[in-house]
Amino acid sequence: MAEVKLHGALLSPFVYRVIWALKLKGVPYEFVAEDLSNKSALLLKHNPVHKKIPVLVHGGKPVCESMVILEYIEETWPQNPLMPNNPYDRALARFWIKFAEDKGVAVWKMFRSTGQELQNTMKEALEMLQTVEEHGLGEKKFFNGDNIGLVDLAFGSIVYWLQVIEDVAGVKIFESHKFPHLHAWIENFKQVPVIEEKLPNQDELLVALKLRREQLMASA
Amino acid sequence: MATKVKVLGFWCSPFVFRVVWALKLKGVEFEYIEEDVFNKSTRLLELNPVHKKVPVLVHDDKVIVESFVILEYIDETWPQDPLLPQDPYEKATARFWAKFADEKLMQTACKSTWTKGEEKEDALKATMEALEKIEGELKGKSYFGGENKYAYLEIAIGWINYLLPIWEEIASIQFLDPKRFPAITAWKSKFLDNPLIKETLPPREKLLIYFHERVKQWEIDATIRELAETKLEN
Repeated sequence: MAEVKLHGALLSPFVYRVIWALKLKGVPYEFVAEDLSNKSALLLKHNPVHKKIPVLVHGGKPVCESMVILEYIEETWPQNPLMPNNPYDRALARFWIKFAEDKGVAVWKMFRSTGQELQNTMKEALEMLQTVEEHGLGEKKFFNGDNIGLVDLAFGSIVYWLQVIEDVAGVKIFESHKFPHLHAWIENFKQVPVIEEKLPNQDELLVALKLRREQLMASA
Repeated sequence: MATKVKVLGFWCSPFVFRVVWALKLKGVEFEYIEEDVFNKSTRLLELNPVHKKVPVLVHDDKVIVESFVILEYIDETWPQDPLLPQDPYEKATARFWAKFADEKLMQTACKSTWTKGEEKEDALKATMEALEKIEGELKGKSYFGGENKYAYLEIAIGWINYLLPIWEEIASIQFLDPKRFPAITAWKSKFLDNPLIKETLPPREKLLIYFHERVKQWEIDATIRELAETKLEN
């Protein structure tokens, strides 16, 4: 089997999506840690367009953008399917994946902002959560039903990081009485054995993100 | 077996065109329903409660929204004349570039029309950089899909061929310099000559009038936003 390498950084929620997908499929890979303040020549060669992580390199061929990578993984290693098997349910899954990509940005913006801007991004993030709670998840255990799938990986990284970012920014939006379905879901998500094994430690993440936020604020 | 396929759309939307082109290429019959996006119907709001936008594809009782999601649904449901390649790596590459064109090109090109001064310069620069990357992807090929003129990327990125020239004229700027983008220029010419595309595109005059008004509105919206921000700061 051709070699699989993942270029990434361990603070990145986007990188974790890929790690979870590879682990769920039992695909061995080599992790190549990237210093984002000093990007390697190899990273720039593999992702000349965006110069970002994650990049999955399979048999020397690079795939970029986390959700594009996830669909690539799903199609290349069909065991333990992470997408439904009929076109309509797949369309629904892809809808929510795109929603996560487009609207999840609010959470990253929260991390980078203070004052009025923080209030604005919190409002955006709240709206995103409300839509997912009401329209996306409902009463289901996971987004596709009984089993974990790509949509869960997309939102899992957003919500897990949100819980830490709330502490970092000193705010609270993801309240259990407002989002009972999502709260139940994130607990189910964290208890999936592969995920449990491969979740960044919340305390370590908090310390690292606090430092990063301070650096960002200082250079603003 | 007759299945009912409907498309809710807006006459000049690049997102809607993707869906129309895909269905026509595959020979799928459908009913087109024009929506007034400035005065949205109850039907649209019920079918797409999350985004309240077109295009919406209705296939029997199934509702699918978001143009790229719809394209993949169409490709999987009607497998004749496939849009996406079979190979996962080539598929990933097609998805990557479709996403890139929407995220990095459409926004910046549009912005170039209604912004002024430095903001306009920045938007224009970003647009040209995005076009350069797309030019690189097209180099040496007749179509993004190699020799397949009906591939996913032709449909996904085809909007630049009818929309960018309109925006160029309205804002008196040039995006598609043939000297700088020979591959895109050649592709554009073939694309616009394709009878199937020709029969779907609205008249140029109509597009110019419509976007002339839109650009004016976007300029006004920007001024209002600026005033609101200044008020907040003071």
